[in-house]
Amino acid sequence: MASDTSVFRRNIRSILKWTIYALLLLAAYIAGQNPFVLNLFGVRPILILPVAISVAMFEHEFSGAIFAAAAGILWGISSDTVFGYYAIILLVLGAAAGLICSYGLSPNLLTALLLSFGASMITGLLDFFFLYVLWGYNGLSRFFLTSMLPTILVTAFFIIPFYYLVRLINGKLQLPK
Amino acid sequence: MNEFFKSKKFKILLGIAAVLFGFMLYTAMNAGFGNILSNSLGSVVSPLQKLSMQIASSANGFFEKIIYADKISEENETLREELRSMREKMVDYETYKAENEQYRQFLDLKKDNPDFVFETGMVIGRDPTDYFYSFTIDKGSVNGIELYDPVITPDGLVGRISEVSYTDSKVITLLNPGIDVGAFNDRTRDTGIISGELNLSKNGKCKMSYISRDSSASSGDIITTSGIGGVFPKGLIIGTISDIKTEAHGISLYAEIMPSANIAKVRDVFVITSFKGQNGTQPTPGDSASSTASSSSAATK
Repeated sequence: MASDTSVFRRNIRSILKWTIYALLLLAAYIAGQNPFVLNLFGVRPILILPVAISVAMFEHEFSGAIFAAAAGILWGISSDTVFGYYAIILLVLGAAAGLICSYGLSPNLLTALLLSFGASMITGLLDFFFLYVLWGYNGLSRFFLTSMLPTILVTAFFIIPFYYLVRLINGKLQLPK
Repeated sequence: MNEFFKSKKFKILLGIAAVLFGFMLYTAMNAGFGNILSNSLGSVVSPLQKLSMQIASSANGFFEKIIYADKISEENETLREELRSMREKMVDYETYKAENEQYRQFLDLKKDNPDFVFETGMVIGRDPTDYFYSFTIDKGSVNGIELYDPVITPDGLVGRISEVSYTDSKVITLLNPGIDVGAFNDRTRDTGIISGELNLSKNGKCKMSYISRDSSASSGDIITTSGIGGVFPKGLIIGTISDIKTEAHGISLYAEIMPSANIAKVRDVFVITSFKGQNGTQPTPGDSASSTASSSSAATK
C-alpha cells in the first residue's frame, strides 16, 4: 500500500514536472515569435534553443533528446525550412547535452553557457550552410557576421534565465531515488 | 558513455530520428503544404500566437506613448514648422495633386481592380532566424488561402504565400532571395525581376535585376508588378528605386528598390486569393463575380 502511494506520488511529480517544462517551451516559442518581445536592437534570440538545452542538461540524454526534438518540431512550424529539419538537429543536440552532463561536465552555469553557445553555433552554421551557402548567394560572409552571428550570440546568453528556471523546477520536483 | 550507444534508449532515439527524417522527406516532396503534424500543432499554437501579438502590440503602443512623450512633443513642434513651410509651397499644389492622383490610382486597388478577391490577415508570428522578415498569418486553407497567393498592404506588395496549413499560412517577402517578381518601371517602361539580396535585406531593400544597360531608370522611379507569369497581378506597387548600379558581369544594370510597404513592421495584410489572369488563366466573369461577392466582407478597399 505504501509502495502504491509512493509510485502515485512519483508519477504525479513526473507529470507535473514535464507539464511545466512543456508550458515553459510553449511560452518561449510564443515569446520568440513575437517581434515586440525581446527585440534587442533588431536582434531576436531563438528562445526555444536554450530551453531545450537547459532541460536536456538536467533530464539527461534520453528524455532531454525527446524534449529537444519536440522543441524542434515546434520551431519547424514557424520557420521557412523543411518540417523536421530543426527537430532532427535538436534531437542530436539534446542527446549530446544530456550525455555531456551525465558523463562529463557537471551541470552548472558555465557548462550551460558552453553548451548553449555550442548548440547555437552549430544550429547557426547548419542554417548558414543549408539555407544560404548551398544556394550560392552573394555576400555570404558579411551576411553571416552582421545578421546571423548576433542572433547566435544573443541566443547563447539567453540560457542564463532558463538554466536557473529549469534548475529550480528540477530541484523542486526531483523524483526520489 | 558506450553503454548508452548500446542501450535500447539509443535505438529508440534512432527510430525517432528516422521518423522525423521521413516527415522531412514528405514535406520536401509536398513543398508548400504542411503535414498532419504541423497542421495540428499550427491549429493549437495559432490562437495563442494571435493573442500574444494582440497583447504585445497594445502594450507596445501604450508604453511607447509614455516613453517617447518628450520625443513626440518635439516631433509635434517640428511638424508644425514643416506645416508652415508646406503652406508656402502651395504654389506647387497642382503638381502634387496630379502626382497624388497617380499614386492613388495604384493604391486604390479594389476600385481599379474589381476582379481582386481579398482575404484579410493578421501577422501572428515572425521567426527570429528568418533574416528576410518572413511571417505567419492567421488565415489558412480553410479561409481560401492557396500557395503563391500575393500578399499586399494598402502601401504595396509585401510577398507571397509560401506554405499553407489549415488555420495559418507562411508568407515570404520581397526581401527573400527565393522570391521572383516580374517588375515594370512605369516611367521608362523597363522590365526586370525583383528578388531579395542577402546584404540589402538588412536595410529593408530588394533588388531589381536584368535592367538594360541603356536604360534611363533613376532614383525615385516607381516600380510595379508586370503581371508576367500569372502569380502577381499587373500594376501592384512594389516600391521606388533608391539606387542604380551596374552588375558585376557588366552586361546589365540592377536597381536597389525600397519597398513601399513597411515589410519589417507590417501587422495586417491582404491576401489576393483571386484575380484576373491568375496562373496565366482568364477566369470566367461569373466565377469572378461570385467569388468577389462571397468575400465582400473581406474586400475592404
